[in-house]
Amino acid sequence: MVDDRKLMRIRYRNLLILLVLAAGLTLAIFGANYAQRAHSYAARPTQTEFLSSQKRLVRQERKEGDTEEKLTYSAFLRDSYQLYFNYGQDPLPAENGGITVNLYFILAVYAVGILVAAMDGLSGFDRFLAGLGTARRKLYWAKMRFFLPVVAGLSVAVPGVLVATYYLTYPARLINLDGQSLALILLYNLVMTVAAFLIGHLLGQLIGKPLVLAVVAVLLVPTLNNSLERATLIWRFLTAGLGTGGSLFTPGLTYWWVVAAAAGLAIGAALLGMSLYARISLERRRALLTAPALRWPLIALATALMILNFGKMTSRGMTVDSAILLALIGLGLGLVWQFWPVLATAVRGMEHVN
Amino acid sequence: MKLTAQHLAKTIAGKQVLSQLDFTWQTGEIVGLVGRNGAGKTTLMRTLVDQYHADHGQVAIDGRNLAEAPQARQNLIYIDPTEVFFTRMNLAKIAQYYAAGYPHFDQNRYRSLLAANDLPLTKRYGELSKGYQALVVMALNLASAVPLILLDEPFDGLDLFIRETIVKAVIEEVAAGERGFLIASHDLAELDGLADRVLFLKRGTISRAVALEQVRSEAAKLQLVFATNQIPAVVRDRGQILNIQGRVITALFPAYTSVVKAALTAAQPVLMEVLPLSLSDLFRSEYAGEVRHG
Repeated sequence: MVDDRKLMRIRYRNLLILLVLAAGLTLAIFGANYAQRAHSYAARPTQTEFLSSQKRLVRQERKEGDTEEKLTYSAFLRDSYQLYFNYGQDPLPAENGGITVNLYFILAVYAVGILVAAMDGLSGFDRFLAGLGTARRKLYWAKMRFFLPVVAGLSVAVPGVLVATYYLTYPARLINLDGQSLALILLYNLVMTVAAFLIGHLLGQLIGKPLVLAVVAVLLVPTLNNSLERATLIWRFLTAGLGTGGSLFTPGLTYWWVVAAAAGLAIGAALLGMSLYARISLERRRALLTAPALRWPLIALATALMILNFGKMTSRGMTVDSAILLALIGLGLGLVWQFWPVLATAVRGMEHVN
Repeated sequence: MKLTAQHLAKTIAGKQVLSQLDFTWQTGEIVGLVGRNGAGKTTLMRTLVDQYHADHGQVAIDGRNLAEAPQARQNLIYIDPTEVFFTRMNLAKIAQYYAAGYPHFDQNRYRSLLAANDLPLTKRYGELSKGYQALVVMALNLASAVPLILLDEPFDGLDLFIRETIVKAVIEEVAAGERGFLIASHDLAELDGLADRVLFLKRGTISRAVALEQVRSEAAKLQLVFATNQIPAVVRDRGQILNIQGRVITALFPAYTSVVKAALTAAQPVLMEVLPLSLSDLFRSEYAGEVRHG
């Protein structure tokens, strides 16, 4: 029997080290940020001048009858050193020196997902795998079984280690993080990181031209983020059900929507990835689009993203005419792509005549 | 163990490369696969191991359809020399992959095959000369202990000694009857002495399958000179003209029977000499029409 587990271990050991290094780096970045905060807190008794002026100010304000909480020393400490704040109904607390969404690691995992699929396809490793005595679906899951536990584990480990460090080295009242908020932070990082890997891998499977893959991969992140922000705004206009727009990295009230969408996308990407891995005939592995049957679904998706990103917004939502115009542009570009070989031949023929 | 390809068809970039292709091949047999450039030899090999999905048809080993029972593909190996993933790896690392991928991979055999050719395990594949790369590919094929081995242009650009090493290895492996080789090659002279059967790939299908010994017993290549410039009907009808130089005609007679011989003698040739029949002659006769029309 093919030892697929061993194959993946040999193949991806270095990428695994890269992932651990990326996790370590994010730990270092967030850790350094926190260390500065902790050091500042520890050094606060030496800030006598500030404290004296603060006391004077409080006395002055109280004399004048103002009893606002901000004018207390506790308020000063809270505003300056508290690691998390809770705003309104937002499930995820806002970070103020603590960690919420590990953006760097999510992006690193996204890049690794792309790299795994692209390298395997372009280097000929997938050809080697295809010739082995085992089903391609099994090989796809062997890859996922190798990466997903590591990716998921590290996505939880980095915030987990940091929060543990906070509790060991910082006053709990200034951390201001309850169990539920911590669970929501861990869940968000877990879902977003796993989704990032699977979507990145699917992208690497779908696009066989490295330069195009790199451009699409880079553009996709801000495009998705912007789409989400504008989609929440449109939803608010439609229903008045949501507050301010959320983004991928500060989801606000859209937290559960984003988690559900990311989980759905992750499952969809995994199933589509598995199906493509089994079905793509490898002579297409270096084609612009390795699965031509997905051309129109992808055009539809790209058009939807284009409308969300560039549709004209007013105080009443997106204008219909801008949405229709963008849909037509998407359709036009799709048709050009579909008939590109015919158009290119015609253009060459015209040049020849001229 | 027997591999059967039935009605294989494959279209790539709008061009039908394989079409209604059928053949069988079994252990104990060396089969040559010949065809003109772009005939589809490499595509056929890639399709046999499912790197390329066939549009139609099936490949089976001992009756087990590889699309339904991929584990039967363990009996088949193809290392595409133009698409190896291990160019930057050293020879020891490459063996780790093959040991994980092929359950009966024999590390000792691999090491001894490399050692016999002074190839250190620490050397990177990409740093080796073309000939030594071919030897590494051969060592991987043999050490994988797979019954059916596909070789794609194994003699391309190799010196005499490395060719001999590869030919010797192929003959030794087949002698025990537990291995079979399908060899795609343009080196007809090398295949001539090696292959039991030769498949001619033409317009995407096997246009002709010949057992060389049988052909040699049935066919004849003759050099003929006649008194006049006119070519006798028996030559045109029963033979395939390979070459004409002045009045000297070289022709292949696929069925050189006593009747044909008598008809030729009756045409009163000035010269009628039997020449040794080679695979190149068969190749020339098979593809002559394509050259003329191409």
